Amino acid sequence: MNPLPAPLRALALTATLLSLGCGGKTEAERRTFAVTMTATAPAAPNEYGWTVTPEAAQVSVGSVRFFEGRVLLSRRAPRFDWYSLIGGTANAHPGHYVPGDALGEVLNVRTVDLLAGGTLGDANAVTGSYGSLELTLVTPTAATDAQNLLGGHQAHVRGTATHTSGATVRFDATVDLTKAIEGVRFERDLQKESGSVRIAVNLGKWMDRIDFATASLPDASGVSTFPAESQAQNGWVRGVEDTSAYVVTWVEGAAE
Amino acid sequence: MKKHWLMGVSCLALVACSSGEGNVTFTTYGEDFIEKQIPASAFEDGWSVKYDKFLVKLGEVKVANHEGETAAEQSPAKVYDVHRPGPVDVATFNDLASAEWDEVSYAIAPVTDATAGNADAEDVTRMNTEGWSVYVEGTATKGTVTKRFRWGFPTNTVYEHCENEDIGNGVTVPKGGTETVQLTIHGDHLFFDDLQSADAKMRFDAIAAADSTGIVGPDGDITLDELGLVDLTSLPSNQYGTGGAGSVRTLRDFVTALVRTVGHYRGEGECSPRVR
Repeated sequence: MNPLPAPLRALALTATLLSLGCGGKTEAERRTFAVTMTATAPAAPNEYGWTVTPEAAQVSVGSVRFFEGRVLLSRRAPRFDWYSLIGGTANAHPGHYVPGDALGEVLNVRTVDLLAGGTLGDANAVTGSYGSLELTLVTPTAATDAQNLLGGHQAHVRGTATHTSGATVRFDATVDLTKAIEGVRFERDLQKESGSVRIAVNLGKWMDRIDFATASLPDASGVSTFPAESQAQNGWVRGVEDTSAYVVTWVEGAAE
Repeated sequence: MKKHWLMGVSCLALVACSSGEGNVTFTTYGEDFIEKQIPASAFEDGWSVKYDKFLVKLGEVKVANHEGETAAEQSPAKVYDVHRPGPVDVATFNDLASAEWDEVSYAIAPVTDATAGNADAEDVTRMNTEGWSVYVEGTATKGTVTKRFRWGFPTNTVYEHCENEDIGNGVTVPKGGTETVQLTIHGDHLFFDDLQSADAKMRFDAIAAADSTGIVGPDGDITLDELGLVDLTSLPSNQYGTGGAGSVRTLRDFVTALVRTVGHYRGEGECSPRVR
């Protein structure tokens, strides 16, 4: 089954919550919990031998939606194919993650300084068995990024990369994804216990596939960027899309 | 044919208490995509694929329940060529307690002592000698261009918690009858362009282009070594996404990861693949 479009998912969650308010038969109970975001620094040289030291890292986060579906365990409907017209059998279907029922969401748009950490807001949610989440990066506005830290982009990292050969690249990179980051693992049976969700961005994973040698020549201030078709930009996009770059944990005891 | 299956001790108690017994027959089937072809309409980039051989080493078929009781188990692996017309019988378990056995699992693993299912003896020997669990051979065609591939994989995967949304979890053994359960092999998965996304598309352009790399150069044969030379970051960034899969950096890594997803259950049904 293909995942529902975002508006329908929101509608489904709203319907779930409304049914609870109207004495619905489901056993799930309404609850809220805070969602925060932070980062962990690269711990080792990346795949191309570059040791990255981030000096700034910001991200513009839109909706965060929690689902019951676990990664790599899915159900889906058969896709139409011409074989079915002639009575053949052939099951084509997309990948192996389907989010399933929505259990909670944060709908704020926030710019987060990852090196300092920040809050994304409170999730409007229900109790249940959580399996995954979807993280949407969005283009910031003047209201959500008043200091223009992101320069109109969804994610930004500035820092220095030093190669094992001794070469050093000062870089300033931005990225804009065309789709949400789906299927981030978060497996927990969540009831009414106090706590919050922390999303830690592993900056090492973000930077792991970048060969900084393919960045642009330094500008007048000695800073390189990632040209659109460069390996560096391609590797950077793939790193930001990598769901394992987002480590989601439940932090016990924090105020609900 | 010598049969090897183990009956769980706990099953005896279940049989004693149950109101009847029945049988379960497991089959395997490659569907039209493997038996006939994957048409160009299924690909985003106009290729079509015809398999000439699709060997899988199936074993460790197990019928159990979530309480840990095992009704039947057949450990030894056999090699099946699911390109040949199917479904083909894999195992039959007789006189099982008529009940809902909600935990069915099986393995596609590179054991070295597999015997023939419906595969040729020389294919079985090669699979054992090379340590492969899956071997595929076929051609891809686009216009006047044809590329050949012959790929063997040593992947070791257990497919657990098998279920079919329309039929249910595991298998229900009928009283006095036989239930047939198909271990379905999905041959189209090897060409998906994303390991996780529900929006994955089928593509072959990048795989075909790999034939241009390496020492030999383009010879019409795409080898796994050639796929291993294609770093995913050299491909468009909106293709060949790896989701959360670690250490998938080349097209060879990518196709090898996809091989773990070929095992399905009763058509469109799904199992949880566990890497060993």
